[in-house]
Amino acid sequence: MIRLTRNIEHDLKTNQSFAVIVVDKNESQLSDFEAVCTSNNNETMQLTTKYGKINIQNIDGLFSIGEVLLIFSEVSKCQRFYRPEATINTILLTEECDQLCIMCSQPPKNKRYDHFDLYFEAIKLLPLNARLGISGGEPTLLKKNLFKFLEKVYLHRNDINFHILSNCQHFEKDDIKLLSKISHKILWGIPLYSHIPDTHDSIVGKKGSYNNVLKNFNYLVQSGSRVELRTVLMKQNYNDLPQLADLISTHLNWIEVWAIMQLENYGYAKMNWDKIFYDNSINFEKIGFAINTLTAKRLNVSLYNFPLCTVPDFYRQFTTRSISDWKQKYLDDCNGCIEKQYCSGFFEWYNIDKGFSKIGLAT
Amino acid sequence: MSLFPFQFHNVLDKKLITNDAGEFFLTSEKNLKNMIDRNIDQNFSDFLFDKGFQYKEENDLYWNNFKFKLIKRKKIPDKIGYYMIIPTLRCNLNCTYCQVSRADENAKNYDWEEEHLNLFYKLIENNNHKHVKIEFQGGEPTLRSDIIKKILDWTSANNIKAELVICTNLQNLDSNLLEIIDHDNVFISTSIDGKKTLHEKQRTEDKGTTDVFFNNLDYVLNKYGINKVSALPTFTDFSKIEETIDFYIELGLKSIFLRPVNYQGFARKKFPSSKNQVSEWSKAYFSSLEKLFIKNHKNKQDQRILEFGFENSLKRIFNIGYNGYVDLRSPNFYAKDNIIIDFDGKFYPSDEARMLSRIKIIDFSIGNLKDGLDSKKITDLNWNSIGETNPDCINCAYQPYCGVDMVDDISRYNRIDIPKHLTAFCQSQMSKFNFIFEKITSMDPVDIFNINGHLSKNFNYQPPFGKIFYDTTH
Amino acid sequence: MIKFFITTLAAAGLIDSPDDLIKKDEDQINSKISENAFFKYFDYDLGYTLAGHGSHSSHGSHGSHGSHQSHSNSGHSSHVSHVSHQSNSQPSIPNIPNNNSTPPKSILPETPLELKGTMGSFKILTLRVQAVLYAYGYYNGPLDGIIGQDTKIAITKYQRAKGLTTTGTLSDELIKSLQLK
Repeated sequence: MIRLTRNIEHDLKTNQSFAVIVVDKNESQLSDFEAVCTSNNNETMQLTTKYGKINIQNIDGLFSIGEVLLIFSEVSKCQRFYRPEATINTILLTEECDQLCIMCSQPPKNKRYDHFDLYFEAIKLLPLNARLGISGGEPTLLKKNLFKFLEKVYLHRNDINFHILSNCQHFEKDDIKLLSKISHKILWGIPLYSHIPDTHDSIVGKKGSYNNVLKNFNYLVQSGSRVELRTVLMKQNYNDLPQLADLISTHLNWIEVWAIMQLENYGYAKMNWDKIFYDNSINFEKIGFAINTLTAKRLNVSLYNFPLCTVPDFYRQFTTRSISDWKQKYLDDCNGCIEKQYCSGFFEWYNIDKGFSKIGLAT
Repeated sequence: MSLFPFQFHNVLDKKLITNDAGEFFLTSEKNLKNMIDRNIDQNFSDFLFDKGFQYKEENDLYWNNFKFKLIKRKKIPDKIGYYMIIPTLRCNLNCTYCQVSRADENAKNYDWEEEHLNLFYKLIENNNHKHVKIEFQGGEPTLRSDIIKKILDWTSANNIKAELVICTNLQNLDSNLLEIIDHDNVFISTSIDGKKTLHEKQRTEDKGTTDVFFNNLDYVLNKYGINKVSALPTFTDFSKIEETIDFYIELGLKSIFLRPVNYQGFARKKFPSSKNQVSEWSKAYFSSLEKLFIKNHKNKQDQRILEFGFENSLKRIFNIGYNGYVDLRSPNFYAKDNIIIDFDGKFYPSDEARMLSRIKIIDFSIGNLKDGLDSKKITDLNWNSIGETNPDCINCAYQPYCGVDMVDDISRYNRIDIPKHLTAFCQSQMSKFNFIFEKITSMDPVDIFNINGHLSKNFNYQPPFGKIFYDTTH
Repeated sequence: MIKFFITTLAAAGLIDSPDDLIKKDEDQINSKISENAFFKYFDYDLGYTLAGHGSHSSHGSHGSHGSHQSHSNSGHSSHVSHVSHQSNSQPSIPNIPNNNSTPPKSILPETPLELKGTMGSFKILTLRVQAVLYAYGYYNGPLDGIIGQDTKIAITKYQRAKGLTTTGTLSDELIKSLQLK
């Protein structure tokens, strides 16, 4: 588990927030947006910037060269915005949401982190073709400013790619123009849980959600937007998977990939675990049917957060190492498993007592 | 609400309905009539929405998805990513049915010139494709393995991601060739016409030559595995199909392309019936295919083999956007995503076009390396290569999956405006699509099993489509 | 100089493409395409498209040899939320649909059913019935050749819809109605 927001002690000559990139330079040669590690003893690390020094306690590993940090001087915090070695770097934009999904791992709160100007400064420091996630809550609740931000980034760094999670409830016809311009730089991660409107609506806790998704899809498709359709696997929708697959392969051929996802044992998912967790290590059949339907039509399917040992041999090719490195772990049972390097492993907070019945050593 | 344009066709005792986006279902004559008369009840209407046959209003999600599928089926990439080159027309064999009219091994003036190489490199660079495939045909291309090596070296030196396929008779596996095929991105394609006696009769002529071939084949298969080599037969004797399939399974090959000798090259004189043999071939072909299905169903995974012709037609139906096989697509625009470059540097729209020009039937050349592509001629060809506007094709239920092949038509009939149903091409495709939809309609588990295997290499009983029958009782 | 048998394209029945029309239309079409973002879908160069390359023809010719077709299938990364926190409220859970299907199997059958004797052909027949009922939308369960609860229900539904005697079994009437030989 890597903590991405850290308390700091500092003597910075500013109380503004700013972004820095960690470099390997002499103190005297630093520019405004650079920081260099001036001491590190495994307990504390000291970074020197042009504005002064920063001390961070109990570091999880060294801050590597090329890492981009956000320094919130006024509240004495730093955020690891971009780690070069990370599987994905995500901006948590807001914790506000207008849906209430039963498996939400980020339950809604009245908090926003819409520091768009600061993020823009940080993005200018990123390497070429860097990829950033944007998540929440629901990012499009801040749609107006979010779009302004995306457009600004596209203007100055049109190499940057985004992966934005959204419940696809708030797009409008007028958005098509802007979306068209930047659609090739954004992959929208959008959930759809069933082909039955009521089932989808009750899973996300919002009546009319399903119809909104389809209505919004029509705006997205007209703008050439790329969509990663996400379906979290649960007891409630397991049986619907084959027919959802039919719907996708008949009406949503334009999406980029369909991701079937296992639960993350956090937030509401943790609370509702017993009522929603579907153990695919016992019966994978309908998931297999759904995958078959899409692969026969040559559409992309992916299995996210499925340990390889819980997936039948033929379907392992669809899995991917999807769990962000900072919240990922392997179990003791995984020792000696030959498939380990290809396996997503488990979430940091996986509870072995409530999890899959059949795990261990994929053969 | 409105229906998208649809067509219909008899399959067994049911009506097959297809639309331009390639969606399909089967129903009764009564329901078909209702569709035509726009006399559609609520139940039927719901079904039609579900299957993508209707839209509520222009520019809604149904409409836009239909549009997407339509374009995806038809659009051909604009950049050339596939180059077929003929480094030499000379050959060290003398196959009875030689389609390319090979030149003698010691003949002069049938090879690529040195200057062609640089022009070829420039062509690749100008097209700037991320993933290039270069196929070497001939004659026997390994007679100029130096050219192959030069091209291979050039692609790696210039960081061009390339896949090379050498179509060779594998008679001459010298150290030069071995060094080339040792690379991971180099593959072999070869002819195995059947067991030793059959192969010898059609291709290698004497025991010694035959043994050399099979020894070389064994060597390559043992050293590199079956993923390195693809093989296919050419049938002049349609009674030999099953034993050839068995032989391929024995060799451990995973794919076979069952095809009759084509009306090209030496075969025109030696096998004149190849001009139109669709009926005889179809009989033998489908019978062998049925037997193959039963075999695949009985055998374990490692003994199963796919038939490419069937796989190709299937994918034209189910894989929206599967239009890389130039012999079966429409519109069939030339010089867009692939090009043939002959030994003399001339461009051709397809391999068969090259063969026809070689025997002076018609000049299909469309430019050359030095002077570039002949855009006017290419446009003239493409203008006539559109099935969607052909009066014979526009009402055909199979049009979304089918193709147009002017080269084949000219080869057999010297004209492209023969009524389609009288052409070998149409008859052949029609019979294949009929076969497939008959199998889909009768839903025999063994057939579904094989359909899945051919579509996704995943042999299983689950039909790869949702509800496809609507109230089919009369 | 040996001439060609068919001297011109026109002699083969080809129609000349209209020069001016093509050029003018092409420019119009190209500008319409570049304005319309919908067409971006057909240009996206995705790292993990299933086929190695769209334009590759596996057997481009009827020449003496065919060619190879390559495939690539690499993974795709995703992410969920960034920082996770505890929460107090708990949203309601929708009901799980009732499910009385045939005993579950953990893996799809790798080896197919044996085609031996009458036992085998009964299983095959059941499979066919299941498949056809699946295609009609009556049956959504596993295709296993076993008449379990779900299969019985599907057969009964179909029989009722067609005015047949509702037996829930493979009656002759049913087989005839499904038009299975």
